[in-house]
Amino acid sequence: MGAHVKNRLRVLRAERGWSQAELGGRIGVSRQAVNAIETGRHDPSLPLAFRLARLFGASIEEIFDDGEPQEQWRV
Amino acid sequence: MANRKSSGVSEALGPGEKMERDRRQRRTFVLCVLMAAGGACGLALAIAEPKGAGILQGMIPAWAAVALAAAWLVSVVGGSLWYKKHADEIDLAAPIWGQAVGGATIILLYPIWYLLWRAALVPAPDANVVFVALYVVMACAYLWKKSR
Repeated sequence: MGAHVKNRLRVLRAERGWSQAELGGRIGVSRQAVNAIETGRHDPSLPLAFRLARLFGASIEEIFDDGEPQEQWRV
Repeated sequence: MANRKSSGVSEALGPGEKMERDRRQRRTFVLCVLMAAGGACGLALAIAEPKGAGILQGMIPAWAAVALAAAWLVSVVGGSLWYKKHADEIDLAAPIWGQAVGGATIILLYPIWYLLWRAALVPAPDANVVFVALYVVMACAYLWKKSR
């Protein structure tokens, strides 16, 4: 189903001592959804990625990494 | 709030966990209402079925046909919108996948059945068989996606 992006969700969540259900409730998704994103089984939609970025006070690139060097796509 | 690294149940739920529990309960309620509506429609159809005819055979009263068609339309369209409101993108991924696979299967196989029928190689296409096959394929694709 395509290449999934890596992410730091588990680390960011652990730093705050949140359970998957706690994080899910704060961004409006289920515990299963958080688990699927953390384990790379599901790539979040752009609106959900923005909600996560705002919640953790980080940019999307600081949370998610698709493995592509940014310079390659810079114009 | 209570800090826990696991997702286990605890006496003191954090604010996010309460929101997640409430969202899950709303979603479960929607599913229960839709299942009850489906059961009620099936029961009504069974009652309206003519005695002695085969399954899904024979005429049913016009009032029953119109009422069931309306109930079907309202529950499928309204239920889908209602469910979408309380489901997240993971909840929606499996039914969307199931619908896509089901639709693609019918689009692929129906013309083959039709063409073979035109050559008198197979019986004429049957709408009931197509409909049931669509649901079986959708259910299989849905369960496969859910299990991943």
